[in-house]
Amino acid sequence: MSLAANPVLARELRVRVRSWRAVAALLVYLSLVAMVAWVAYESQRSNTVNRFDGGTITATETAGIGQSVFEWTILLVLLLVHFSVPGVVSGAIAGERERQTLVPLQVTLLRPISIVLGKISAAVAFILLLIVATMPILAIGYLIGGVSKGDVVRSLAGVIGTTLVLACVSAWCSAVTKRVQVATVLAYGAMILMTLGSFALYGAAAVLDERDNRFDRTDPPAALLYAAPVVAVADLIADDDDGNINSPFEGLAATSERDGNVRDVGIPYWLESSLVLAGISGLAVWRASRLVTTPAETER
Amino acid sequence: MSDEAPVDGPAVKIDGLSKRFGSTMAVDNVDLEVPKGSIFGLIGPNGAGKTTTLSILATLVRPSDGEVNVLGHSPVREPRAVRRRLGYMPDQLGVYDDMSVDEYLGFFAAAHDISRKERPALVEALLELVDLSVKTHAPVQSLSRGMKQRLSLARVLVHDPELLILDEPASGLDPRARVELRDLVARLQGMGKTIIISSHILAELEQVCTDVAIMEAGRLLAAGAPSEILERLGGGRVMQVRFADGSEEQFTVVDEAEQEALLRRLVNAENRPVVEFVRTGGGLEDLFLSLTEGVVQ
Repeated sequence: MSLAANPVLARELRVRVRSWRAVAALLVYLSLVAMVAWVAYESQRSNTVNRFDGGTITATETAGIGQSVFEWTILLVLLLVHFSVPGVVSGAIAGERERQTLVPLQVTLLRPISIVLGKISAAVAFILLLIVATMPILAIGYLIGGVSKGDVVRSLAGVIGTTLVLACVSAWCSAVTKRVQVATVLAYGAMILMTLGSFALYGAAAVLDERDNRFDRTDPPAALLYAAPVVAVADLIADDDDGNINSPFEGLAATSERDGNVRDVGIPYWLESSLVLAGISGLAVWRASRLVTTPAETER
Repeated sequence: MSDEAPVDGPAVKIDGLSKRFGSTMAVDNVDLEVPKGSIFGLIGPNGAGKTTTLSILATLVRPSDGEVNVLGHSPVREPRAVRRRLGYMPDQLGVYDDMSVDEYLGFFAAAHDISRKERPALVEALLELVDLSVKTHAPVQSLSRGMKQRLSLARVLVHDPELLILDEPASGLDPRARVELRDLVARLQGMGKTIIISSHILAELEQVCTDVAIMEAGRLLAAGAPSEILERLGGGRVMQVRFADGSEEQFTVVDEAEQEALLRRLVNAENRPVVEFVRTGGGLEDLFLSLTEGVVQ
């Protein structure tokens, strides 16, 4: 059964889009994004004007403003994806169990993988709707200048990829338990483990480096951050940034550039991290579908 | 074997079925046959193993031991083939409250690979069958429990299955809804479907079931037509008769046919005017009580 014909996806989209919560979420989300874009624009503009003190602002400086607005907006979208996807997807399977609607689904001809992918796709589609709604705000940065089409494509790919990874992991958390509340805690826990946990590990490695002098003390292995999608996105976006010091991604991307081994083999960090994240996502989807497969030892 | 292969013999055949959950034996070496076209009542107290047995038949739970054959297919090895021909209504009433009635049935029709073109007519026919046509576009959450139960029954019929498994369908229903459900089940049997139904309400089952199986503590105590079981156990229906002269007598009969014959004999042959003819015991309930000991797993 193709994804487009997946009844679970069709049902989820229909129900999700017509609920007032979706409209409220969209309004809150767009207000936040617009506010951040405006703050980024104003601060960058006033910095530039002050620096030139009434003189002519060059095209490069204008481009810096556009780039800043664009990248801060993307960072906010990424953060919102991190905080919304686990909440949206964690009820996917656990919610069906809690409502006692999973069994009727399991005795249809739907395959377990279709149930899981339908749920994930619906969540991703909703996030895509949010991203599409952000386009006019992102376009401001694009129109000011300094943002190429490549920047837009890379950024959106990063956001969508992050959404997919978090949705897959959250779906697995949802399949593990029978209670939505527990699934939500697990999904946020997994997201925090992947992002903050990776940074904690990276930080711990840096401390050990310094203390034991086992490695070059400025070079903890960047591989420790592979499971954090935000670093991969930062690396992808900052790849062509020409060292824009106002970019919110510059610091994050720098962590991925410290490990000489990564660059030596010529594979960009973001690609290596994406492969690891794709592996994690695939494993999560496989486990989630196994957890709803019947017949099983006990009723699922 | 193809999914649509014709199958002779019983609709369901169970040989030595057992299911353990840890140290608990939920189903213990059960042998059972469900005749095609029958309304088969599965009776037993809570913890008797009824739901576990039905879950195994419905391809949800894997048995620990034994062989199960549903319409010529194994629920363990060929679950999809079984699902094509079986409709299962679990004991818990789970419906999508956030959909309308027609959307709900359309969704399950899609989940059974029924083409988009066929769905509207199918949904209309099903809603007519379960007498919910007036609620076609109503939100599911606005339905009463009885209506939701009928909607669930319509759901299990979307792919026109040959076998229906209804686990405690009358649970929580008011008397009118129970009668409506009973009539609906009888109509479905008239359409050639085999129906396995579990319930605690023995009077309801007695009126509708052609065959019954009594379970307790995971074991099968008796199975067959109720009259056969009664005869085998030497029991029967006790009829309390009050005559016009005020005298009262009790008679024991095995089934409805014998009950009718008794009444004819008293009124026609013996010319004794009867003013009251009431069954006071000896039915499925007494049979159930005499066979079971109140053992719970």
